Amino acid sequence: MTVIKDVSDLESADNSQRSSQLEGTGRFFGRLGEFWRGFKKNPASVIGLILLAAVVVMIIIGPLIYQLDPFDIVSAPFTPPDENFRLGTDYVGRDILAGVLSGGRASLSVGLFAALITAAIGLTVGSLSGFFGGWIDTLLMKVTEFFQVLPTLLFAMVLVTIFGPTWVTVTVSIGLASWMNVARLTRAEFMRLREFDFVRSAVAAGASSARLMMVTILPNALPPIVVAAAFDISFAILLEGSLSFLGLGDPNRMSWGLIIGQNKNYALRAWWTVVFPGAAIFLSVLSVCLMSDGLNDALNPRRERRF
Amino acid sequence: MIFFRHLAVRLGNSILLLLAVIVLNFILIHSAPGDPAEVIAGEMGGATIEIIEEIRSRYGLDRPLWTQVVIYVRQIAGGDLGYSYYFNQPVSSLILRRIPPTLLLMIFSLASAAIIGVVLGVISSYAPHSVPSHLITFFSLAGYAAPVFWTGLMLMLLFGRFCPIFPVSGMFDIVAGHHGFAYVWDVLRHLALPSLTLILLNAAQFSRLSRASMLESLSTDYVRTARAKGLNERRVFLVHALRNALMPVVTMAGLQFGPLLGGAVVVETVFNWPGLGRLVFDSILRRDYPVLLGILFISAMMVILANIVTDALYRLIDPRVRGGPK
Amino acid sequence: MVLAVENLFIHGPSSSGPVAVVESLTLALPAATTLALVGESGCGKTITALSIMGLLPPGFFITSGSVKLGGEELTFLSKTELRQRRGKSMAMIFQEPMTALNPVMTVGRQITEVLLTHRVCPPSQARDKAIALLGQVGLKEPEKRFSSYPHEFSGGMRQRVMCVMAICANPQLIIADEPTTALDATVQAQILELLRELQSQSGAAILLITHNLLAASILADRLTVLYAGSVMETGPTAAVLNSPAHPYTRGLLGSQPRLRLGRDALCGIPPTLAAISGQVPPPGRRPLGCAFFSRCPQALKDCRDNRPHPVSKGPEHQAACFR
Repeated sequence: MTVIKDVSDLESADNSQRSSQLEGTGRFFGRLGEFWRGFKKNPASVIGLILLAAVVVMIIIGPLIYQLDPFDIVSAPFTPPDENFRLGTDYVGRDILAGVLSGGRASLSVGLFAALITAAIGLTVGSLSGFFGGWIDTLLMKVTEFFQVLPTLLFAMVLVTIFGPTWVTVTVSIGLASWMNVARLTRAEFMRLREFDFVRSAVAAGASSARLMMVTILPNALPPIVVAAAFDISFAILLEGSLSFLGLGDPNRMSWGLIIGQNKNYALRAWWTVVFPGAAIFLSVLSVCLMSDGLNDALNPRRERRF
Repeated sequence: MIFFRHLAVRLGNSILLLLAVIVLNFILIHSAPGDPAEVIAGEMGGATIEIIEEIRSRYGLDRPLWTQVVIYVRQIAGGDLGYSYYFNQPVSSLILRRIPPTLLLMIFSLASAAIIGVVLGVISSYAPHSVPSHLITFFSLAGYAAPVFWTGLMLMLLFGRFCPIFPVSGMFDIVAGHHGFAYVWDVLRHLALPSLTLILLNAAQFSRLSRASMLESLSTDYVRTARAKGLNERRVFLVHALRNALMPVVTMAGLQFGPLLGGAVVVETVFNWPGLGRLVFDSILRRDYPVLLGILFISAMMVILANIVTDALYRLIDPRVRGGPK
Repeated sequence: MVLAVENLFIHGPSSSGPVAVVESLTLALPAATTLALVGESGCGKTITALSIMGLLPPGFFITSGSVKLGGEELTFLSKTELRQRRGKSMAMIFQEPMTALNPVMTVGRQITEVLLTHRVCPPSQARDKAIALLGQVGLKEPEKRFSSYPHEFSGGMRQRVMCVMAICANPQLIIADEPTTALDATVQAQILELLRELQSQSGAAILLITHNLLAASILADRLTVLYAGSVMETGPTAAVLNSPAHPYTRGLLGSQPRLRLGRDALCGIPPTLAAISGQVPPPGRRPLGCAFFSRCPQALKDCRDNRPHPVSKGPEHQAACFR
């Protein structure tokens, strides 16, 4: 049964062939306005965007204003929050506020770039698989299935341990361990779009496979993939947190997970050492989730929200 | 008959996947910086030159690459996951001993999370725009966004400082040395906080999924038929809509196994739960590669097993696939 | 009268607030007779049926009018009272037999559920009664069918199961919403035949909702032609089909390929009329005057601004047209 939200749906409910939202190359600003109208439909998305902007500004500008090296021992261990050290100090006497401000750079940059790698691998595998079908599809889907069998965190962990904990290995490992969902989504979109008339007519016009994939299908397949990739940023931030919590972050860069991991055994003695960096991860992930839901409302109005 | 053929195909597929994991491990050993023999010995295992030489001959490291693959695969498939020089034990027995506590934690958490999540999901699907429904949506978002180690530490702080009814570390009270029922009770008390951490993370996702799938189920024709038959709303919800809505939940419970294993590893290090997580943590510190690779292999095996169980469960619930795929 | 609908208005949601979906609908249906509600899709047939059953989708409301079942006003009943009538004194057969049965429940349980809910028979006899009914609607090996799942049935068999569920509590009224549309042509006739048989045994009134005039002519004693939420013409089946008084009915007949079957082997279709051009105006964009004005080949000037009221065109035969 079709859920009728509006009586004007009554006629279209019968011929469920929905008009595909295929867009021409309309005016950029008109599209931007339309995008914003969809995005702001849910106040939670706007809150998410503001929160994310606040977090980004904080970690970019914060360390410039609060110029304290997060690795410097500045006070006695376990100094509770006071007027000198607003968020207290950790088990060796390093300032937590400095750690929270500069630790965000590692967490968010890994999150962003890992999500880009995820999207790149996922798009490549998914589009090849969905476009060509046949044995290429079978093979690539077997590969995807194989990677899905490996628990994401454990796989990333083994990769980082073996290749050494640096910013690059952490980022690449997270990307390598979590591209499968994007690949499946891209494959499904490509398979769906391949059957549309505008693709068929492009085939008839003699377009090359590369052109069909990149120019004809990809732009139409992008909206749900962009949302998934945005959501993957939040997943990558969480994964980076877990890795550095386990001591697998870049030891030369402060990160939120690292602060918590190093102080976890003293949590009951010095709550401030774990509460603040964890809250920072929580708020960043929360804001990315809310924002990606807003993207979803703006780009795929008919699709179900994630939260 | 169709069922057995299906089973055979699945088993064959699983074996292929496991072989692929072994080959992946082999590739990882060889692409790691440094001498493969030293990688196998473990960086900080205190391996002597004799040990390195022994490894070299045992793994055939002086022979051509494809022979090495065959030797390695044969060895792992035969149940020999290597030797940990740091722990001075075979990797397989090291891992096997740590699996029961981890499985206890995982299965207890997964089952509780699924039940709690489904109950919350059904409640919020009953009135999708009510305050409780929005609260559940917020809870599911917060449960996802909070890093699992942080949730664990927050619970530890909460219960440790303000309400010390649950132990915050370990799996049992060594000093007391309980037996029988008292031992079980002791373990359950220790289980409370680590499992609550994992439940908070997973119940959130189950409630979100079961809410969505209940809402979809409630808009189907057969639910309309059930209403047209004059059934009361409780029966419409719990008998007609819920059973159909459970299918995606079962699928997710299976898919959740891998992420849950990762979560358990992290939570165990927070609460000193004596399972795989502790082993992982120690092996990372010591760069004990055979143990880590062994854990990767065993956990892939557990995920495959979980997929098979999920598949069987799905067949049990849905009569349409019971006879095998069409 | 088993069913008496009077001056019924139903409003539904739209982007610009509630709009009328069904306007001023009046129906009368005595026991053991069949009334066919005929019209194109989107004209409000299914919404009418759902409103009688008290199953209107969220956002749809009966705004005025009366619906009486066996003399009892349904629009006054509480949700619980209405639920107790559903399945017991009125039952519904839906269009899509493929999706209208619960896929994870045995057919038998879906039938006994009705028997037990409405206390038709003691629990110990429910199984036997369900098996007997399955046999009665023409399913072979009813005992085996009792414990089968819907996916093991063909579309026609499922629709027979739906019929069992509809009749098993001996309702006064059966609403059949496009019961044959989703079926193969040969099976369609069988299901219609089954409905007529069941009616002759139980004396239930049937409200048949269809866009298929052939189905209507086979089963119905009376026809009511609905267009854009309003009644265009109503009368005895033979009279309406033989001498349609409304241009829309004539259009509908003209677009229907050959009617040579049916109770009275009727039909003299004016061969000049072909398919009606244009589409049903959606609710909210209906003309001020006659709802059919925009597509009517014989529209007068009056038709644009004034809504025609039903006028007599023969014995019990009325049409809402100025001509």
